[in-house]
Amino acid sequence: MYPSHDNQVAIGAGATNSNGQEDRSNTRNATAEVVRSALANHKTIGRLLPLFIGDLPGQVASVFALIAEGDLIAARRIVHGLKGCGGGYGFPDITRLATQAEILFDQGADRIRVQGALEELAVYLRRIEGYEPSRERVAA
Amino acid sequence: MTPSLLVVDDDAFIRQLVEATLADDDVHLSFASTGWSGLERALTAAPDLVLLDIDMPFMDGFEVCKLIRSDLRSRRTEVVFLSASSKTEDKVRGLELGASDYVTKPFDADELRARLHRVLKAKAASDATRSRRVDDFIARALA
Repeated sequence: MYPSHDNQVAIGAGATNSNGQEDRSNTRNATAEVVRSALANHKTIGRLLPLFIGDLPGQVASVFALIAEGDLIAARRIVHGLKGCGGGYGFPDITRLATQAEILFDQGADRIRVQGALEELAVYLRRIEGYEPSRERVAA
Repeated sequence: MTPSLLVVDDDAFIRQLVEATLADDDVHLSFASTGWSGLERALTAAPDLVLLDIDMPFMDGFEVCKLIRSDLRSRRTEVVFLSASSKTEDKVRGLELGASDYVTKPFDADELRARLHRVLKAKAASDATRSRRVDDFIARALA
C-alpha cells in the first residue's frame, strides 16, 4: 500500500497507481488508470496535495495558451515550476516529463516537438486523482 | 536561540513544501515570493540562513545572493540555493557567489533538513567564536 506517513518518507518517492502499486508506466502507452501521489498519506504533504492538484488544471491551460501566443519564456517558467514541485508532492513522473519538456525549450526545439512533450505531460497530469479537467476550461 | 531561516521562492508550492519539511524543527521561518522582497527582508532582518531559488522573474537568485554577500547588514547570513536546475555551471556559480550549499528540486526532505541544519550549526559555532573574540577584545581594551 502507500508509504507510511512518518518523516522518513522520501519526498520524491515513486508514485503509486490506484491499486497501490508503484507506477512504472510510461505515459506514451499510458492507460487511463488513475495515479495517486506516493505521499498521499504523508502527515503534512498529504494535507497540501489537494491545493497542489487543484492548481494543475490552471497550469495546463496556461501553458498551452502561452504556447499558442508564442510566449515560450512564460510557458517554460510553468514547466520549470512543475519540474521542481512534482517529485516533492509524490509525483516523480511530473518532474521527469517536465524535465523532458524543459530540455526541448532550452534546445530551441520546434513548436511541434515542444507541444508533443507538453501533451505527454498533460496526459499524465489528467490521470492524477483529484484532477478536474473541467477547471482547464475555467482557467483558459 | 532559535535560528531564523528565510525562504525565497516565487513558487508557493515549494514554499509550502519547505514549511512542511521543517514543521517539526526548532527554526523560525519567514517567506518571500520575489527576489526583490527576499533581498529586502534579508537586509533588514539578517536571518541566519536564506534558502534561495534561482529562476525567479525580475531578480534571480544569483543577483540576490551577490547583493546579500556584499552588504554589511547581511554579510554573516548564510545562503543555500534550492533550484530545479541541476546544471553544473549553476551549482558552481552559486558556490562561487558565496553560497554554503546547493540543493536541487525536487528535494528529499531528510536531505534538505540535514543540509540546512549542518549550515546552521556551523554558523552558530562561528557566531559563538566571533562573540568570544569580541568579548576578549573589549576585556583587554578595558584592562
